[in-house]
Amino acid sequence: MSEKKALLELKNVKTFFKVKGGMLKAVNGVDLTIHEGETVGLVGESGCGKSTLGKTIMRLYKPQEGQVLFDGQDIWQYKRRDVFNYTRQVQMIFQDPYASLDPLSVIGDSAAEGMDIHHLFTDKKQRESEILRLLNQVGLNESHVDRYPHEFSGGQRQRVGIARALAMNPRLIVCDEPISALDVSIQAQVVNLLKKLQRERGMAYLFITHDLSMVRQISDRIAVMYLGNIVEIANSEDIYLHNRHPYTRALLSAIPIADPTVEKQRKRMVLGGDVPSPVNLPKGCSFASRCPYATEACRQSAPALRPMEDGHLVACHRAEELPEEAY
Amino acid sequence: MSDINRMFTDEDFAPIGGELGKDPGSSREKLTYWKDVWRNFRKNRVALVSLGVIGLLIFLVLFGPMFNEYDYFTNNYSAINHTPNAEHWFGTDTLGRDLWTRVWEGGRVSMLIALLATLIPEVIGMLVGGVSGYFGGKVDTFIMRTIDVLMGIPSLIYMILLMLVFGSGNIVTLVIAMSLTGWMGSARSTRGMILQLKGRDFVVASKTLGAPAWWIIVKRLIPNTLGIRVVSITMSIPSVIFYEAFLSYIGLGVTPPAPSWGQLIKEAGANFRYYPYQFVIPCAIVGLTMLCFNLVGDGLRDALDPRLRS
Repeated sequence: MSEKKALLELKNVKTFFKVKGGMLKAVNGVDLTIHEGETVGLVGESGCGKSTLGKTIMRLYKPQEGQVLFDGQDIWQYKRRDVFNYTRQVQMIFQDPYASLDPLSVIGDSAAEGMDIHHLFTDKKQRESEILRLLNQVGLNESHVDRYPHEFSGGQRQRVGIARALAMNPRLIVCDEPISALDVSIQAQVVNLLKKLQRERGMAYLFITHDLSMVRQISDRIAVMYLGNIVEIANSEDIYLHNRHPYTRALLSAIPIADPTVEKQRKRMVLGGDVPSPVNLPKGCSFASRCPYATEACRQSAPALRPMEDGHLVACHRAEELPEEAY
Repeated sequence: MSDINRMFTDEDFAPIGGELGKDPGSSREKLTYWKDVWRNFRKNRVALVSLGVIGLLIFLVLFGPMFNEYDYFTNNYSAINHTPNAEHWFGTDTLGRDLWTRVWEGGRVSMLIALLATLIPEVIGMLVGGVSGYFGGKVDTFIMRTIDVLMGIPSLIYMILLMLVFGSGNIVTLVIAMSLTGWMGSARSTRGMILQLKGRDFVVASKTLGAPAWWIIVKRLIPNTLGIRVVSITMSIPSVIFYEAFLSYIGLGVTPPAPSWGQLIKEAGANFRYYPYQFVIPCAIVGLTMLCFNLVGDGLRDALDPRLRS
């Protein structure tokens, strides 16, 4: 992957929100690179800042610090025109397919919204045929064009959301938990659809999720996020087989295995304690309060992401010392 | 686990038995948005009848005065306070003027004011409320505080001042005055609804697609508030009719002898005990108008919202 061109680079991005009693540090210094055509999975528990990071990339939140570079250019230094252009190249798929479509617009218009905003088609017939082509691509047909979202199931709506993102022929799609509101059989369909589309069109995905078994399916690399920080990034298989960060291990050990004998015998890594408040972050490693391996050094200084072998990055002082175990 | 890990192929998603596009849904004809609204509105019998009644009232307001030879301003002292009869269908008033003619003549003023003085402030209010709610922050604070201040001033003061400037007694002045004072309530309620809506994903989606603010406000936010607003719009029509009557009463509305429904009711109110028909007939017509507008509004709300359509 490393030989590929970087499409989006996050450099020390910090997105904070003003709350009572200080700043909520939703994203607290994230470095991440997404290359052309690759899929980066972003996993972490609820409230760790995954969605905020996605929305920061979408230019919905302005980071307090740091840069978001697209094709090497800072998206917050953009002129109006560049912003408009950026909204064409980077698209988003939303979590809740019941909320992400305008209830008053028919499916065809919802899917075509981007095309209409960017005036991609002035000819009405051309527009219609493009809508059909898009809907066909995501597995819907012409009888659906004039129907309203409430007539559709969650999976179908999510397809419309995907069609809407595809219409712009984007280079990056931020998928903000696109499958977590769907039931399992539909999840597989949507994931396969996304994979198929990527093969055909070669766009990159940032796939935000807390579903660890699905993210393995789709991602080339996986980034694990905890409390506004990325604690580990590696190729998908490495995250599952050669992970280094204790938090990654805890997360992975929570995946149930569909085999009762294995399931009974396996050792679970159960975390004690609570997630510290993102308003008052502890000094040192943010995971130290729950980490079974934490030492005094961990509580004193925050570890930076540092490279291990083969593009594997870990933010842990004791990454080398930890016993290698695969979960 | 192995099942989930299996890669699905295109065949897995091919429709079972049958061609694409041959499902029952495709038999439904294509409809434009307004055709669809009309199709659904038609299903509501009550609303449809009400619309018919409104149509009839408008017809009578336009052509009713032509049905007999009387005009609305000529006094006839030989025919004072006649009860309804073959000659004077609604009877005559204290000055011997034909009430049939006066009722429909007055309806022109009342209907026109009712429609314009409801729609114009509503549109202004929606746009102001839309801008205020969407942009939030300082813009919102500024607009809302301005509205607070303006609302603190009794609307009658505006009316009187505007009448002084534009001259009282004509419909245009009345409509302008009512528009200038009426938009604030609608702005407030639209803003409230938009505050709720703007965080919804479909609005955020428009934003990420690069939609300019006007697009989001006009195409996403306002249509989604319209369903609720329509009811209050139709509810406000009767109150506008009565407000006009009140203004006429204190001499700021239509100048006599030109009638309006409000004025007819006001004049007849004095003689209600002796000549009840003079009072009851215009009241009944105003009541009927109000009822029909409300019922049409109800039907319209249901027809506008695809989720409520069957």
